Amino acid sequence: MTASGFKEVAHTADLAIKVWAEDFSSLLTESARGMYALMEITEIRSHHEVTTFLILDGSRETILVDFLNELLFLVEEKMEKYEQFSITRVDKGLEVTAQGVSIKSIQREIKAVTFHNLAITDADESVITEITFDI
Amino acid sequence: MTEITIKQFDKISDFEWEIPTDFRSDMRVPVRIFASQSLIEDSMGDKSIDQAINASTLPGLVDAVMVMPDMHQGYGFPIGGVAATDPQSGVISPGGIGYDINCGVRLLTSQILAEEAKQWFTDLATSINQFCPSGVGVGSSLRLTKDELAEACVKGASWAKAEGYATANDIEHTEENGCLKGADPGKLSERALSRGRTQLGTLGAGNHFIEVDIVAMIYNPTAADAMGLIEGGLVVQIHTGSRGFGHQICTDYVRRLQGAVGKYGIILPDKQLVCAPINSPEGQDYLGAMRCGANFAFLNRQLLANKVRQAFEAVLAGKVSDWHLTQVYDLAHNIGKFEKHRVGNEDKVVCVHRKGATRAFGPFSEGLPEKYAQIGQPVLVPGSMGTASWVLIGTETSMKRSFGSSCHGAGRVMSRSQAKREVWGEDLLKRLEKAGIEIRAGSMPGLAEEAPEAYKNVDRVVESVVGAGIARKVAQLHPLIVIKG
Repeated sequence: MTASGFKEVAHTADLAIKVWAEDFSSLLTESARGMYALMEITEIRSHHEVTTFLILDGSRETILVDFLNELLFLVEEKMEKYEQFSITRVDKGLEVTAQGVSIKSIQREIKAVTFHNLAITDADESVITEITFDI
Repeated sequence: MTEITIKQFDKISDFEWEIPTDFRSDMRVPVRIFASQSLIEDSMGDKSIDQAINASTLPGLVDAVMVMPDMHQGYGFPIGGVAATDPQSGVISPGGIGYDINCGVRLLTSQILAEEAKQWFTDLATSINQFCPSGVGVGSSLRLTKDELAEACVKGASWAKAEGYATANDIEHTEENGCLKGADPGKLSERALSRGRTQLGTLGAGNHFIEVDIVAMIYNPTAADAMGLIEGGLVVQIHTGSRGFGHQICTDYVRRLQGAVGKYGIILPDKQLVCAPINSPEGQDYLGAMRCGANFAFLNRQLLANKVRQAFEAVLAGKVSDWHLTQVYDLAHNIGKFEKHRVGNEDKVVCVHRKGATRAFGPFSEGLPEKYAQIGQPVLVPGSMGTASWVLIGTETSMKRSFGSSCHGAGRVMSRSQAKREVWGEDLLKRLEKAGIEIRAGSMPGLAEEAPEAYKNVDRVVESVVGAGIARKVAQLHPLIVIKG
């Protein structure tokens, strides 16, 4: 297994991915990549986008869900996809500055990130989770 | 976790089973399953029964948690789950209603015989596809301001009537007349309003569809006559919900109610079962927002029905004797509502959560339109793409055994990734066209995910609810035109 990555896992009605990374911050990035991959997004690589948002403090699971839901909102409302993240801790939580591109088309709609059986576990110098998406 | 086998269930009849409260120490009420043994065994492959047992641990439950034969794994509650809670001691749970608040089905009927219209089916498929926005990221021609959307969410389907998009007959033949009272736009997030503003009158993607069917077989002529169904005639099904708007409401409150769980000392076996006491500020806020989502969905299906009518008129006016479409019924299968039911020896108002389950009120129940008062409420059960759908009616037994509820569809058995591995979209398209079905689909992989083999056999599902006595057959429908987002 590589240091970080994701793969789709079977789910009866919706979609799910298994994600692993060296630390929690990388897990956020890999989870975003996995979610975008499920959506089968075609980008407009020449249109660069930058945004900043705040994720309020909470458990790691709550931060992960909030982070992905924020990205999902940016996909649906602004047709923007973010790939590089700078994450810093601030008083109320995590401040995320993200760089990305505009979206040309989306093949598959994800409507929400869920807490379904969501648990982030630490094992052998890596962080692992499985995320289920409602479509 | 305790391993579950059907041998541990109490058999009430061939189509009704109960998991007693001593099965797991934290269960507060039994779990009642309406399904044949084989359908239950088919469902053992996912977590649907575990989820029903988890749901039975919620505070303030009344009677039992029910599971319909089209059950499959959901979030918190299983799809196909029904649970009623006491308004004083019970909770309201977004997980018991689902992300797609008031996902539901509308059935329109006509006096058009399939035989007289078949030469225009290709044009009709294209026309419906053009009139009805569908697919990923496709918005509506109707762009509302946030204030207009807030007003529409309070009024539901009647907003469409005021704007000329609905008839009085449409409103009368919609569950709750297309409007849940108590919707409170003040409880919606800016994000929900933003997502909903451009989505009214759109089908969406995934398992949502518009289908033109032929009434292939009538089982109950009296009920079919009351519904305006004629053998060989054309009908239209519209299956969609509250789009991103409803999902945002659920996302917002699943997050917010996590705080309420700790605050009110509720212990949950699954985080996705988050809930709040009905009479708490958090519970009331969710109810106000959820009702906005429900009304949005009633309105969404109404606007789509109006567009389907435009498509029928564009293609069939002047070519068939009467192209008009009349509403049979519109119902929710993801919703939470206060309803009066017989509990023990008393009539009691309870908060019924239906998630992937349909209201199936029996004859003489409160809230039925006049023409269904004596026969019971129409229950619409879409099949998988390319297979039959069913029109049923609610019964006296559904009122006694399942809080007036029945099944909502076929229910998945295969994951989307497995369906895509095993079914090639283009092959499926050819297969369906060879069977005489006109298909318009947004994407071939999306079509493959919805292949008939990814679902249970809807006929077996219907046999279970009829066998359990919680619904009766009225008519079977066969697809002629399918529009998928």
